Amino acid sequence: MTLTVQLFGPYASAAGKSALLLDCGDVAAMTAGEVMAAMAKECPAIKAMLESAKLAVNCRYVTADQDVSEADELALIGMVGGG
Amino acid sequence: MKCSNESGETTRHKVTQRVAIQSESVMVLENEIQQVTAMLVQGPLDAISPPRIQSAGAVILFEGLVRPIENDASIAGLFYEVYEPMATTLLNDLALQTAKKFELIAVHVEHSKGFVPVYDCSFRLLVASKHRAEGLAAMDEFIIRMKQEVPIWKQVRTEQQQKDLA
Repeated sequence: MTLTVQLFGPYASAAGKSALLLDCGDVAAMTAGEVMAAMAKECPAIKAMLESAKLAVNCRYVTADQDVSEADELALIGMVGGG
Repeated sequence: MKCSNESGETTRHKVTQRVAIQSESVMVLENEIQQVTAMLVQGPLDAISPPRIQSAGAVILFEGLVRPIENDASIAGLFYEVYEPMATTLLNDLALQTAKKFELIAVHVEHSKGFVPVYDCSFRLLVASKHRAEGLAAMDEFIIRMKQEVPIWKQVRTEQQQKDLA
C-alpha cells in the first residue's frame, strides 16, 4: 500500500515538498498513529513538528486508532493560524 | 483601481474574484430559524454594510485586517494558504456549532485565500443574536477555535517577494 499525505504551511516548507509518499509495504490498512510514525521515519525534517500536528482523513481530524486505507485523502494539519 | 462613489468621495475599487458560496445551512432550533453561511474568497474581502437581521437585538461584525507592520518590518501583505475542502467543511461546522451553542440567529463567515495587501480585510465574522452577551461570547469562541482548527496558514510577503512573484 502506498499512501500520499498532503503537507501545508510550515510542514511543507520544512519537508521541501507539498506531499509525502509512504510506501507501507504489503498491508491493506494502517492506523493514523502508524501513518504518523511512518512520516517521521520517511521525513526526519518534520519529525519534531509532528507532536503539534494531527492527521486529517477525508477532511476530518482523526484519532490515532483510526484505520486508514489507500483510498483515503490524507493531510497533515498543524500550526494553523488564519484570521 | 480608484473610482468615485455617488457622493464624490474617492474609494478604492477592489477587484475580487468571489467564489460561489461554498456552504450554506439553515437550521431550526427552538422555533428560531438560524442562518449560517461560510465561504472562502480569492483575495481581499469586499467592504459591506452590516445587514438588518429580523428579530436580532445585536448584530456584531468583526473584520480582520492585514497590518502594515509585522515583527517591526513593513510588509506588502499576507498570503493565505488554504486546504480548501477541509477549511470549507470546518468553517461551516464551526459556524453551525457556534450558532447552536449560543442560540444565535445568524452566523456569516468569510475568509480570504491567496494574497491580501496591507490594510485590506481578510476575515469577516458576522454574528446576530437576541442579546449582546451571547453574541460577543460567540464571536470570541469562534475566532479562537478557527485559529486552532481550520487549516489556513498565513505567510508574510514583503514588497520584494511580491515583485519577484510578479
